[in-house]
Amino acid sequence: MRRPRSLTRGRRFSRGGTLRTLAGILAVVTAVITAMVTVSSAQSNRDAYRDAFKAWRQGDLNLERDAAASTDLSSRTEADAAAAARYTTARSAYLRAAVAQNNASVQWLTTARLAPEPDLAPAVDLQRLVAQSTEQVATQIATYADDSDPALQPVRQSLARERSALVALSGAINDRQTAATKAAGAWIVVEQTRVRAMEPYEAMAGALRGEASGLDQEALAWAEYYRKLAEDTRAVVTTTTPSPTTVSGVRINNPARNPSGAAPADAAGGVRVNNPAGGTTAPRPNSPATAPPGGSSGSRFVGAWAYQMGGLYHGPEPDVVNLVVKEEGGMLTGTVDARFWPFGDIKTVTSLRFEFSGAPGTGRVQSLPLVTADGAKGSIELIPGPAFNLLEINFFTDRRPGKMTYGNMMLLRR
Amino acid sequence: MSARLLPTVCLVSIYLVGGASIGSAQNVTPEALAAAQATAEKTEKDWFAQAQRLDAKLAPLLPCDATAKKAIQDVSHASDVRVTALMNYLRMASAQAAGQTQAARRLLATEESQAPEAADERTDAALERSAIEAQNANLAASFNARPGLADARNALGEINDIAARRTTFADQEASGRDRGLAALRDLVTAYQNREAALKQETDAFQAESTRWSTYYSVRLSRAQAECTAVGGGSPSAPARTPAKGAVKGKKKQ
Repeated sequence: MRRPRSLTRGRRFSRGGTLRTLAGILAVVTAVITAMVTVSSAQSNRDAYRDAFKAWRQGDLNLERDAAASTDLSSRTEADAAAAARYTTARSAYLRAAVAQNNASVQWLTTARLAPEPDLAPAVDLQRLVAQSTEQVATQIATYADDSDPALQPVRQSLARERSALVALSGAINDRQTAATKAAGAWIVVEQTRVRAMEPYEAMAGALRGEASGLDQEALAWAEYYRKLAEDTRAVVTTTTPSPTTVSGVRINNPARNPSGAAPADAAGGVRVNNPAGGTTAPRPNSPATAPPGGSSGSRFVGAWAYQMGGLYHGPEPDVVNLVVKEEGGMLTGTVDARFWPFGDIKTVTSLRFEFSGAPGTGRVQSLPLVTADGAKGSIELIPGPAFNLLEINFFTDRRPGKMTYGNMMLLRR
Repeated sequence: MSARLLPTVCLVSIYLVGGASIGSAQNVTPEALAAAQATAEKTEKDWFAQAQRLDAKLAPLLPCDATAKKAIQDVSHASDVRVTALMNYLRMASAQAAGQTQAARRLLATEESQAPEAADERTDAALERSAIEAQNANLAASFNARPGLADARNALGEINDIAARRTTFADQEASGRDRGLAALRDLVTAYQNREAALKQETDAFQAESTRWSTYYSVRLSRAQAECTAVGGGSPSAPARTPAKGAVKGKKKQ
């Protein structure tokens, strides 16, 4: 059975990824997601991110203040991290829309370049032609000047008219040349002005890209900040041995302090259940060594997740992947409905549905057994993504003819 | 098709092609304009070559030689063809210029409508900064009571730095927008001036083409007068040998 490499450990990314690597991944993922949001969402306007900003900033005003005394802010930091992510996503969508609009202006200014005005009827050549004819007519006029033969009178008159016509023609050529020179000058001014106009729009494009890029960094930084805030407040618990609290028959070491008026926290809300009733007397630490900071309690995975078109994957390209994870009775259960584009020997679009269930381990990555709708067995790894709203899954099953037997992709929380 | 009809067919073709190109919209494609330019260049070259040779061609001919009238008429037709082609090009160039003026106006209108965005951007950036500062102040107070919050405090400090850089970018964007709007207004004016200049050039060329037409008409009249002077009816009539010396020099000089 072939196991696909993890997205974060496979050939797409360096082994043993550092925070910088994760930051890079997040930047790419964020870029992909926000690009999709930009295209597909009507929310990419100022109101959308302002609403998200307002919701975030009015959500938990005392978080930092309460950090002085609270022993576990996990649920609150997660809520704030989610709100921050909603804001940065909306803000990024707005900025990228602004970048796209600005790029369109730059593009227009670039393509509006005009070809130089051609000199299609060079006045110099025409004037030479006219001068030659005028000279020839003048010679003829001179030839007949002293001849008093009345039969030649019409010829003399014709020559005089011709000379007048040539003089008028010469003047008209001059006039036209003057107008052509003016038009050529106007072309030069247009081109100079057009090039001059490109500079500020290119500068704006750079500034907007800088803002968007800064926001991507900020999105990552906010996730990191809230993670650290939760970690820093939890860290105190390991040294202070808190008194256990019992809620609904479950003994909880450090229930999150409820914001005023908030509903009591529960396990799915991010409260760390250390010692179920009837367990050992001594409470286990909240952050065991095997779990990295901000590590993977079951709640980290709970929820609805989906693959975003154009997102990261390794191996078969997903068309649709929907994952729902629940935590019930201390067990993680979930279903995956997926559809893949043709890959390898499989020449058609294939669907795959499986369910998985198991007790969450203490490690960052959860590995759980799965059973497909047609009875094949296998396993799935749930791997926390570089941001709270990202989850990597990595699954494999027994070989079934015509069925996809493995997959590896990054999912976005819905 | 007779050689006489050929220039007329050319004329009609140029009218039809040119008319279709212009009639399609003010949005003249660069390809259509390039094609019109190529046609204008070719017809100009053809006419100029004929016009240059005309006097030399007429010089050895007798006054009533039908070849003389035909030579003048051929050059006149070639002139008409090139005038039509040139006018077609100028009209298309004018239409293109008008289209670009409109497009530049639309771009300016769009950008002007976006102008308040720069101020909004600055305002929002300032709001974000003040919110971060408030968080920072609260966290600093908590940090004093709980030094273990150092990591979080540092992380928030980094966010503050990033937000500060974003504010700088927002200022640059606002500055660029102001300069861009001014440049776009200049560009619209430049396009309008060019459009007007092209119209003047078109009018001037129209006037010149009338002069050319008059000239060839007068040139043909002279040939007729010369033939009449030697007793011929018309240069195109069956050739009558003029009496020697009836017209001084007999041959045109």
